[in-house]
Amino acid sequence: MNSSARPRHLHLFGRRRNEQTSAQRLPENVLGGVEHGVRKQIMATICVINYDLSLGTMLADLLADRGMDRVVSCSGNDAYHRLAQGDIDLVIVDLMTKMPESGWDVLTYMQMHPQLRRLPAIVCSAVTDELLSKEAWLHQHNISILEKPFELDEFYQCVDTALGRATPASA
Amino acid sequence: MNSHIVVIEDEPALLQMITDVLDAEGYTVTSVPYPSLNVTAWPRHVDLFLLDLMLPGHSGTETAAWLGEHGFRRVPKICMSASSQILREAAASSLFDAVMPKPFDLSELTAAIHRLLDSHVGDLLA
Repeated sequence: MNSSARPRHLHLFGRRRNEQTSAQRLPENVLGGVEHGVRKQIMATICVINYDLSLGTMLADLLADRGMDRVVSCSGNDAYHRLAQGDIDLVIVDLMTKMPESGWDVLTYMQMHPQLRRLPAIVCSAVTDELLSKEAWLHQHNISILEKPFELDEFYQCVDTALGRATPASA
Repeated sequence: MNSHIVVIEDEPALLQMITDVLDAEGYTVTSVPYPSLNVTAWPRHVDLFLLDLMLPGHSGTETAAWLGEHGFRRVPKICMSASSQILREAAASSLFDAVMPKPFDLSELTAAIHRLLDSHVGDLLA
């Protein structure tokens, strides 16, 4: 993997030049051979934090079905402990529409945490006035928005973009 | 003397993180894991409250009024919430001196604290 193809967050995550992501530390037979578009992709570790209980682990299941990444699914209660382990490349926060407070709390926590504040994240949420009021702030902080309902391709593209991967359309 | 900040928040991990970063910024911090509002364990002198407004069982304004009844009426208070409606109500209530919409980052938090502490010192000297 050359430096130009490296996910952008690797430059922002505070690692020294010769340090590796959790994905880069995996053996070659795990990383290699996955073709998506015209480039080989690197397996990332994605943490899906579920607050929307009606959807359960749907987002994690969709990512697991694609088979490109290591997926860690956790509920709101154990999200903080899981994030603090430091091996996550992307965080997806699935907001509960009627009670989004817990999801915003975990994003605040990430912004306070010296090793997590530059980690790319995706907020998955229905479009609400609340979400729209935070849109500019989220973009400023490298946090993407995935609006519900969404198409499967839209979800995968959002993940790949957040990870700095080339997509078939842009490769 | 370092300014003393009391942080009241019901999410334990976020409470600990805010406490740690403010401590690293040089403040003396008392963290209050809501609903353990044991005021007898608090310092006698508090310079600022940082208060979550989505505490279960109580509205933020009730908690702010409770602080007033316990001798902290004139201490500056910053309220935190993800709900813009709740923040609007808090701003209109005159019980709080500043609002912090969640999510926020460290620089936004420290800027709000500096601003409020500086203006409060200015008020006391005026």
